[in-house]
Amino acid sequence: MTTTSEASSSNLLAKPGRYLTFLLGHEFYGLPVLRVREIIRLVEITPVPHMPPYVKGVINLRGKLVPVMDLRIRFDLAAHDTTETTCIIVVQVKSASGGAIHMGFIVDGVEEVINFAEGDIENTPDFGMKLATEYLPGMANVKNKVIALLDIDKVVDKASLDKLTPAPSA
Amino acid sequence: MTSIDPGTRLAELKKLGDKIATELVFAESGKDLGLLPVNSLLGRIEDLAGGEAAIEPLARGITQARQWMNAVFQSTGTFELLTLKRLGEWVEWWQASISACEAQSAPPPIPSHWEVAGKQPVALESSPTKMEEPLLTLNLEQDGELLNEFINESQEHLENIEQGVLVLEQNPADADTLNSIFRAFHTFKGGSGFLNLTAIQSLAHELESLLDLARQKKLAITPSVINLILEGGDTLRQFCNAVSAQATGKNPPGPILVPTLALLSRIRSEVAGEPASISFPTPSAAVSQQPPPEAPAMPPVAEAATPGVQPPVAKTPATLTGAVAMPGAQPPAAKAPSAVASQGSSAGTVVKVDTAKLDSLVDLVGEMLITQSLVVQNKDLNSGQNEQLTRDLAQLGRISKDLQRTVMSLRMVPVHATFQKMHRLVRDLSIKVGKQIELLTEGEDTELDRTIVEEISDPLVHMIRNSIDHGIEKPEVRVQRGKPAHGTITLKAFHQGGNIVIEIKDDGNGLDRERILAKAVEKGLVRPEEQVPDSELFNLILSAGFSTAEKVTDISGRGVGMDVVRRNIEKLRGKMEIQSKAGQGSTFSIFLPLTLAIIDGLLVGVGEHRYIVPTLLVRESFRPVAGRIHTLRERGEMVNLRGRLYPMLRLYAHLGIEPATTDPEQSIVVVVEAGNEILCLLVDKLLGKHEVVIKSLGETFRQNKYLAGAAILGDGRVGLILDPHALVQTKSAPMEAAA
Repeated sequence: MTTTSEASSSNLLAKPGRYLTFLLGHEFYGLPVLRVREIIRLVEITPVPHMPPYVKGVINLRGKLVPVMDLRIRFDLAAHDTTETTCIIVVQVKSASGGAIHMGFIVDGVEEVINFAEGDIENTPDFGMKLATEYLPGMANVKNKVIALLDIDKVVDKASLDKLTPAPSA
Repeated sequence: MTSIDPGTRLAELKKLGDKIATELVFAESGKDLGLLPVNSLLGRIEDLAGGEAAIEPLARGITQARQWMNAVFQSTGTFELLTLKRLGEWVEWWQASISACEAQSAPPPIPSHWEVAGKQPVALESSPTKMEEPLLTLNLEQDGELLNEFINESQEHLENIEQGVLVLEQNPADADTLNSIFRAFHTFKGGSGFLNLTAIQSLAHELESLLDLARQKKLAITPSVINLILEGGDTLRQFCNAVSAQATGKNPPGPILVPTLALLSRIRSEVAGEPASISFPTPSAAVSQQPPPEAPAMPPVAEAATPGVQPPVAKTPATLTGAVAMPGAQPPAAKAPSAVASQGSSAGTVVKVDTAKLDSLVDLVGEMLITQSLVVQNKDLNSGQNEQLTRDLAQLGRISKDLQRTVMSLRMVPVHATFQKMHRLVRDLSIKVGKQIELLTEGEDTELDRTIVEEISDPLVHMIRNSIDHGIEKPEVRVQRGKPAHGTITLKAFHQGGNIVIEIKDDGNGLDRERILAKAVEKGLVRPEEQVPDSELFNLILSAGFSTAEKVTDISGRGVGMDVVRRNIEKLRGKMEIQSKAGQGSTFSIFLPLTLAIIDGLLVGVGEHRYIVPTLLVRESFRPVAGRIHTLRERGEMVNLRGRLYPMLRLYAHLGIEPATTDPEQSIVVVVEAGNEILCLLVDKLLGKHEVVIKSLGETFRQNKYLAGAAILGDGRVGLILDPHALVQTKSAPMEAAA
């Protein structure tokens, strides 16, 4: 394993560094810790109509409106009831106009912050048409866990948000 | 001062003229030989003849010669053929003039071609013969930030200047205003000099000198001076706009050219023409500053104020010499006002704050209020057991409210500046259309949200222009109708029921009811037999088709672009009302919210969710009874409202929410009005009226056009604000969901 990762170190899509890891179902995911603004417990979300199903709505974060996205639905995982560990990770992402906006991700639980060295990261294998991986640039393998690393700017990609869904039937 | 015998003096002048002739013999074109001697001889002539401004041709001839010399010094520094020729002619003329003086006859007039050849106005002392319009080049890299600051400050100065001038027009003797305009130009000069904006600097400098003369009462404030100052201000503004366009990157960097030379020379001639227009504020003041009346010879100016002394006839050489004998008796300039200049500068201290910081402050205070109310309502805390706690909580509530009010007021500015601009507009336009119009303003201290003040300016300009153009009649017509010849437009701002009202009232023609009605019938907006109240009828001129219709514009004289005005006002969440009486004038009232940050909202419940509808757009709400809702092709639903049918939108279906009930008779119909359209929204229940702070939903939801924003409700949760304007657009869409 070490040989392959060293060979590919120069063209790693995910950068080494400190990642916040979290749970979606039974899978581990990670996002760069520098992009995390805060982690809050699940609060009441005001749904916004005519948005894709994974955009759950907006919350009031100390007077600021923050849109919230359900990562489970975004990644097409099976629906799951919220539990005590469910929480919202507020991250800073690039907006379409180049500015920075805050966005909340609903996740099933936050794990820990791990420092990934270059040798820990591999590029995500190509799954072909079956699985879209453009927002999953790399995988990290530590302590016998495989952690999928997110490119959060692509997760909240503008193009996917602009495609508003029509009003669902009542 | 020299007091020599007139005869000796004339002889001396003649001798000096001869010396110049001698020097000119040796002078050659392209060389500077003799240049300095000629110049100094001319200087001595000027000194000697200095007192006799009354003998026009002599003084003007000297000035003319000095101008030629100055031009030489400022250009090549060597004689030119033309200059030499002119100087030769001048010497001849001078000798003839002196001889005429000696013989006590009128000196010959100045040859007219001199002035033409000089290519410059008379009495222009320091201006070079020809000059290129100066170009302005910016050093954006080095001065970028300084330039921005300069532009920002300049806007304030320019506004001060404009306002001040308009005050001066009414009251030319207002020393405070003069000083404030002078200071504005002075600051302008300093700033532009620092940034090496030479063209701006020189213009500001000339204007400053003009004002300085006026300040010292050496120059009367005449309409021409006022126009000069206004034009100067406008030119400076052009410069500033051009500089700002480059500094902000709107325009590519490059040299800026704004023609100033013509204006400069006009200012200079006004400045140089000063001795001719000396004016004293009051005769008594003039007397008190003069020597006692027994003085043997008085300067001509003082005569007017000193009856009993024979006024000297300035036309004859005899009196000329008499006046020259006392060159020191020039009227002393009133020095007193210059001391005032240093006083009364800026009135208050101002801190400039980034608007983003203000917004964040507003957010935090709003959040604090919510938390505060949660604390107060907490049962554990506030059971009434602890009196001290109850008192403290009440105090906390008061302080929080005060804090909120103060924070909100930070965004407010008085409408003063906007109103002031209208003075200028009315002044310029009324001259243009040949009407006498006076603008009265009231309530200029009324404060409005900064954004509103900025946005309201254009609609106001438009409406005032309409009033001037079509509302107010020509003076002769007015007199015929028994009205005063000058029309009056009143611009008023005041508070009314939580709104700010801006009122534009003229005492002109009024709207022509019959023509509007005819047009409305023609367009099918009104049935011929229908009795339409005036207010509704007049509001029709605000609708789009109406205004562009040329016929109505020509006949009724109103309505050009009134729909644009209406749209602008609606954008500010305001509305407009029109009152008019034929022959007596019209009143346009604009109702505006106090601030754009807060909206008065009707909170409605749909299923488990709450939405806010702007109260301003809600006409009424009611629980429909059976039979009032009709369907069209089993899909489109309509509500019968006093005989008229309006489309109905089931909000739950449109928003995709599970409603409490789908039965309209268990629900509430909220009638909203957006633009000229009316839509009935079906909601579950009304939850009350709230004032909420509007927040933008941000880029994520930008595509969602049905939402005007969101607000944080009393319990800390987010409520979405519906945009009725977008909703009325969708009512035509099929509603399959409404099953």
